[in-house]
Amino acid sequence: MNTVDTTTTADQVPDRGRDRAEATSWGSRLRSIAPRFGMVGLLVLLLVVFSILRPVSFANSANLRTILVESAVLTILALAVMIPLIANDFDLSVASVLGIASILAAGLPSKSGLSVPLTIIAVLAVGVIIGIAHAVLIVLFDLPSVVVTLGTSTFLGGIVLWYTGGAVLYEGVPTALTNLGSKSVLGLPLPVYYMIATAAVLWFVLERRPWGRNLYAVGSSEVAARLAGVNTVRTRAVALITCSTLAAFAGLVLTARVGSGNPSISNAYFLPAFAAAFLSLAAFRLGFFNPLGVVLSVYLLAVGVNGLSILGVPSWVEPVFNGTALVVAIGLARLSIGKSRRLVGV
Amino acid sequence: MSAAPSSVTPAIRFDGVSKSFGPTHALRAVSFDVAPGSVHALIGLNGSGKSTLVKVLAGYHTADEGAISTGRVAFVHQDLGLLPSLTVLENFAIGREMSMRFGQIDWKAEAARAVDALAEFGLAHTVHQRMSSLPLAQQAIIACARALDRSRDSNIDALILDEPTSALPSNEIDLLADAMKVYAARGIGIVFITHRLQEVKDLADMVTVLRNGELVHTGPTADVSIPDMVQLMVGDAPASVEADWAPPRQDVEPTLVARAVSSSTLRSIDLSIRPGEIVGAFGMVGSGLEHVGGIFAGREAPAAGSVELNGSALVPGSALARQVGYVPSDRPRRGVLPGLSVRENISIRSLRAMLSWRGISRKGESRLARHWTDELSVKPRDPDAPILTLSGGNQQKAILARWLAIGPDAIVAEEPTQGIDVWAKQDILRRLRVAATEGAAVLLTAVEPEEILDFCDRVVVLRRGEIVLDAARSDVAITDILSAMH
Repeated sequence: MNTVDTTTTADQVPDRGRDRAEATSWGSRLRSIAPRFGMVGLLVLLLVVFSILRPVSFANSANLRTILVESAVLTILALAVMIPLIANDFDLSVASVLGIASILAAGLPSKSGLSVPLTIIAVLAVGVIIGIAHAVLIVLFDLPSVVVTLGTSTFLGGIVLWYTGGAVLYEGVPTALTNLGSKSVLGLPLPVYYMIATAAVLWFVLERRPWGRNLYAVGSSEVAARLAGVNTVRTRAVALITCSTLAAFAGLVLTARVGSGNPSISNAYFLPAFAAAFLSLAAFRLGFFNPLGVVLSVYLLAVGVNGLSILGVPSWVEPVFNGTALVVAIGLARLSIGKSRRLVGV
Repeated sequence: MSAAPSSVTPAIRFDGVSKSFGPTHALRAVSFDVAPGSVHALIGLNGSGKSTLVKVLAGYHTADEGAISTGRVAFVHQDLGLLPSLTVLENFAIGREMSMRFGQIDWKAEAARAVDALAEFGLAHTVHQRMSSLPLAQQAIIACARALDRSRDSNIDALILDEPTSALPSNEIDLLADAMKVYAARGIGIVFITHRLQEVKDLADMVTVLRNGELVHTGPTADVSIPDMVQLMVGDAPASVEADWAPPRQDVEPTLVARAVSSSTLRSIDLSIRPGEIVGAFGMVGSGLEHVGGIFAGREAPAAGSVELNGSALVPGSALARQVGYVPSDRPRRGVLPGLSVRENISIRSLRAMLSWRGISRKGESRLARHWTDELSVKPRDPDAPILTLSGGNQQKAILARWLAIGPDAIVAEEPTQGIDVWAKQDILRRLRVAATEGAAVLLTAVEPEEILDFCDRVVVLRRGEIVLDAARSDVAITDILSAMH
């Protein structure tokens, strides 16, 4: 009896393995891979449809270049938002950091006479300092990230008002700085390269460096990661500091491109940056925030909005389109990964 | 109070109840009566069929053969099912139809009803207190009162207490004992499941012992001693098995040393583990055992005393502490990294070793994961499967592999065989023995010694926060260990 029992069970175990091997065969492999590239397909579809409808005004290199460069700053900011989100930390202050960085990039040379290299260093240092403050409050003192960054965001908004008096700073921004935002290489403006470099470096450290893996582990379960020997304090702190620094970099690029500092610019960036970060859950690594997904998301929305405006739809369509895309995408991400796991934990 | 005469209708009658799961006979023709007004203890080792019997009674499983005759039954489970951040009153009201008045909850009527249910235990004053502010024993009583309140419109015939005392400090058990007397006096038959044999003697009128799904004894508690009960639960298991490995060397310095370690539940524990030695630490829930793993692995700081690894103190969060292998008991919440793959769960501690200028080597990581999934026969063999798609035993193997992959000097595993099948258990324990042979110091903790005893070199038993037994495995029988635990 006993021997019979053991053989049956021993047979059952490899059986399950065989089922799995069959499950990873052709048809179902396609079915499991297809959702990851659904958004790529959607982007291609939009490009094709708009090109057919407006072959002249949409499908020309100038328009496509406009789409690329107009969203470069937003992409860098959305990549910044994404980093702490991987570990379930929300940084609601990114747009305000972009705002103060943009103002300082315009104001430090014009008001205080700082050289361009010193201005760049100072602006990035402000981002690092804000990030360190966040890391201390959120990671060391264990305060909720949503509340802390809501506080710093409001605080920074006040500082910007004090520094500018509410006026746009457009005088005396050195050309050495604006060159960094307007010069083109190989037909593409520099900000596009900054964006590509940021995404590439982030892809590398998140996918190929232990810190990235640790960050995803913390996002998966902070306590399990800590017990597994992950230095969760350092991992989360580095994520928050990188986030603020990147947001400051985005502000710098913004000022370099537009040549002025606008004290109310941050409002225009807050929601799109978060929307793109969340949309990345539905691309490539389903259910995980990922840098390539963020880039794709920003450009999917940008192409949609650009195409719709060329078609002449009224301006209220843009937010309606963006909002719908976000909810549909998160719904698809949920469908494809199942209910076993939370998509975003607060 | 002795067994009621057989002419009285029993509160519950189990009549030849059998239940099989595949080839496993969980229950074989179990028959006994629970008399109204009596406290009936149900005991047995892990896997003896106690919980299956409760599940059949609750209607969660259907018996293959036999029948259960009973009236209304109320259940209180081990975790009590209370909402700690709400008040006692809210705990009473939530989850059932509430009294309403003008479209609002009628809290006055609800309070009156809760006070009514709690008054006889002297707990009426607690209705507006927050549940978490009350001692555990009072919470347990409230859980019982709530279970009865839920069905107060019809009379309850039996109350099933499924280890309600396992988390109670021993000085609070008297409170619950009084409550049980109140219920028994109302004519309710109480089935009381516990691991603590002293409680059986103190609280129960009758005791029924299950072993491997069979009823081996039922009778008045007064007729059996605690050693008798241990013997009944264990049966004629061999006193010890021959170890097929070399005993650990005694002439080397210990790897893991605890000096006068105290915590909220531990009192000045001294314990050292040598390289190559597997120490099994056993104790009931509440013995302090639940803190041993975390402290010895350097994941939690003791309140006093220190734990040293190779002569250096382990500080939680330090690089040294992160080198100690740790398999926590709460696998779903503290062990697995739920969103990640098997590969990522295994490699998380080994990434630095696979680093080049191109980042983590894909090939190296896959090879590592493949090596360990083969070594521990993790099923399915696909290292890219999400960890949550694996069975509990295979998840446990992956967590163990995470540590074996870095060849730690010390491994601490809490309840390493909890909730996993017998084959996975063998794979895990055998591989831990290999790790020990290669020089690791291993500490295993378990509330049920029979699970892992035969794989240990040395046995330590905790009771009330102190080490009450420390002996070589070959010098003790399981009955000695169970007796020391109780």
